[in-house]
Amino acid sequence: MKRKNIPIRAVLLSTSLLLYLIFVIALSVFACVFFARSTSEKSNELINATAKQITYNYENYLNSILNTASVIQSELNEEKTSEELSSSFDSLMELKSELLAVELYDTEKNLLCKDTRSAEVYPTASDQWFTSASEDQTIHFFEPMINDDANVYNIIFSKALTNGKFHKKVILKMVIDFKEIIELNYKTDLGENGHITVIDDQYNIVYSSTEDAAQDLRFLKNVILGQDHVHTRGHAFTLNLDTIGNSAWRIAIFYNTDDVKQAIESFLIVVIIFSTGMLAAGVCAALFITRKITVPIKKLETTMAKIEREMTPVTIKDGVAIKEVTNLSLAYNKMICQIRDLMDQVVTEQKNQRKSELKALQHQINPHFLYNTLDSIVYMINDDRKQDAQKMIIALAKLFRISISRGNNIIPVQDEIEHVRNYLLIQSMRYKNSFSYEITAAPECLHCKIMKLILQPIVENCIYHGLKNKIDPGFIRITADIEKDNLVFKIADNGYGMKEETIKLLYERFNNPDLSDGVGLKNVYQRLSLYYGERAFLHIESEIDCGTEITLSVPVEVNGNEKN
Amino acid sequence: MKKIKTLILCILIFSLFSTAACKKDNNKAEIFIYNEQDTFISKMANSLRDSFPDNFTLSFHDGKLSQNTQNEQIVTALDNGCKILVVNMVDRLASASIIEKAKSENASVIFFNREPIKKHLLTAKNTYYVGTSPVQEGQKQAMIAQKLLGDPDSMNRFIDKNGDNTLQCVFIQGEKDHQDTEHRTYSCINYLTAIGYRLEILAMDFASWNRAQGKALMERYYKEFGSTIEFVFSNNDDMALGAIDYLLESNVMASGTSAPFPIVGVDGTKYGLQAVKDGYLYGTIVNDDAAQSEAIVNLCRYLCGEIKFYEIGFPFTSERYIYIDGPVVTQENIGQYI
Repeated sequence: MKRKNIPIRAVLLSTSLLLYLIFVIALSVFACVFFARSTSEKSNELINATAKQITYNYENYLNSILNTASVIQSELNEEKTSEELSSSFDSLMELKSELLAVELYDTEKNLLCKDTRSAEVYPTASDQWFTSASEDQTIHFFEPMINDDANVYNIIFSKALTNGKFHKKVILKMVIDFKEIIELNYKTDLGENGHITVIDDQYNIVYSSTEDAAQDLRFLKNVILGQDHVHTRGHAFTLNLDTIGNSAWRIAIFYNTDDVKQAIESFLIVVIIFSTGMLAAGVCAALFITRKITVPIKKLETTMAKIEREMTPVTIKDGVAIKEVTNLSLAYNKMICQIRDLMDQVVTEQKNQRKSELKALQHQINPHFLYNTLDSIVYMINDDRKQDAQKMIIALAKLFRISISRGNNIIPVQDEIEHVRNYLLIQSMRYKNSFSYEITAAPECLHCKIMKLILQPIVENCIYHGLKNKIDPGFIRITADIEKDNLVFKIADNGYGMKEETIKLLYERFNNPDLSDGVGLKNVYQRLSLYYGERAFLHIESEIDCGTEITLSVPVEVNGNEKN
Repeated sequence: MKKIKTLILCILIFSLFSTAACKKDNNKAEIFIYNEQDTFISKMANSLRDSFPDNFTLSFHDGKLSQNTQNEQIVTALDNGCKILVVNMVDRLASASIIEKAKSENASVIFFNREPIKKHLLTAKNTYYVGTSPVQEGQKQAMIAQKLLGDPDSMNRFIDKNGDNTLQCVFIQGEKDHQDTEHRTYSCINYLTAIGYRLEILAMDFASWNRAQGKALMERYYKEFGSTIEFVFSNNDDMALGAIDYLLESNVMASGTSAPFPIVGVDGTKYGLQAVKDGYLYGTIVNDDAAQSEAIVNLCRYLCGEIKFYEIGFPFTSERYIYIDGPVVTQENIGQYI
């Protein structure tokens, strides 16, 4: 199972944004649901209270009619004459302005007495008031009247009563003006198109505050009793259908609830705007925070990548990064310091080692030459060639003085050339002038500094491998010059020369660390690379039977400070 | 391991099914009363609570004297899927709406104590009424009076104090337009006049079945008519007890003695019977709540399909009415009841 490497910023951004998104959405949904619920609850409470109030008004009104009937019953108990009854009806009507007529009938529907205010018996469309009241004497009846004038709402009340001490059954009929209660409820605000409809138990409309009440009947028949939400006349209504006490009537109250819907909708819009804003702010915050984490980490990362080359500590400004990242970079810097210390230690150790190696390499030069030279001197003295012996001893002494150079590794080019000159002198004497030599040095290079004993081993090679036992007179030419900030030495001979393969083999051996494989060229090369590193350059050019030219190139060093 | 898992699963499924099966046995009935404060109604509610078998879940709703409140309760119950409504209406005239609403939800309605309008009741199937026969109760009140008065032409002088052979009486009526109010009152009056008594009804007014209102009404009557009152007919015991409360408080009647005139009630409540025993109340007609409860329970069980129609065990009047007669209790036979 290999997991893809996801950048920390992406992880942080995506998780925090996802969580934030969920949070904001959940919050918005919750707020909306809560608001919608509480708003509709509130409006429902209001609607219920309004509906109750209206219903209560109607009940009160009908109750007062019933009370009137009770008053009439108690009048009847007192066994009054019809004249007395008529006058008491008149006074009742005076008290209660809604009473339009009061009439009393016997069980045969003969008029017993009536109020004197109206001359005629109040006309009614049917006898239902009479038949109902005589059928069930325990209850009273309300009956809407069919009115020609749309603004007149009259109702008939009828009830069986008992008359006199012997409780003869009589039927009371009262005609009542319904307008008062209607006007009372006009004041109630039911919203646009909100209206009231009163129906009887047969769904006949007793009264409605709207003209097209007939289209509501289907809602009423569907609801029967209780509350429902209906949509009609282009508006949303809450329909409350309840009974009116003391009657078999029901009252339907249509309350316009568009406002509630609108309130909920506008709240929804506000919430959407708000949550979008919140989301945008969240995105910004997440970007900012992740930047605070990732930018210093990126910096740390790039600095760490450069560790091999530069090893510089990270610098992070205060306040740019968060605490943990700052701590991390501090820890990293500490580590860098330690690594540096360790590296310094390693470098010192290596320097010491190189020093000892250099010493060892330098020491390799001396013995053979010294023995041979001394042998030659002894031979010269034996041969009584004092002059030559003296000359040789002087040259040898110079040679060694420069070799030692008070322990300095770096000497002026002048000295190095002097050294090789003395060497050549000694060797030419030893080999009885079998070769000649020429040394040319550009004056500007004489004062430059160079590692000592680098020319001598090469010259030695020329003599032993190039010129020794050669029939033709040998020739060695040494030149020293400055080319583009480099000190260039060229050592050329006209000896046997070398094959390509031999040169190749030589180059290969240069990089063999085994020191015991002591060839002069390798010795020089290794010393140069130890001291100058990659800037040192040794080139071999050779042609069979024509000669060899060795080119040495090192950077110019004028001050020649002793490195070690 | 797998076997155990399947076993556990099987047990779980089985238990789930068995509990579901148990649940199905539970029948639900919602009971709506017009007012918990009414002594007889609360007695009736208790009796219903005791009479229903255990497999019925009951819930009681108090209309608190408001038909609108009761309507709300009924609508909520129907919305919650209630199929059997046991209703004691606040307003008898609301029966049409209740029956129609229940019919639209395929629910059955059993009315009790307050009789729905007959033509409304017959519009739907599975709609019943269980109650007393107020006409008979009125007649039985009249019979108590008859027994005390003796011959209409020479009335018992202990009752007919002024000796005019006419009974000066007052009526304490229940609720205006309650079928029991009207029937109890007029069947009593009609019965007495039919057998030749002359009645002078000094006053008749309503006290809404309520003890405090009964007391207030008696105070009014007594202040107006004083000792000319020879007989008090009360539509129920509570109001009669209210009247007694007034007589005791105003020292018209000393504690431990009997009333200056006979008072008769209806219902035979605990307090009513106690008052009969104490001698304050002359007599009452037991409104047999236990029998009414039994009839309601049997109707419910029939509607749930638990019993057959003929097992209901009560006679029907007009197919949907069960009227239950109660015995007469007077100071002579109170020993059998208390």
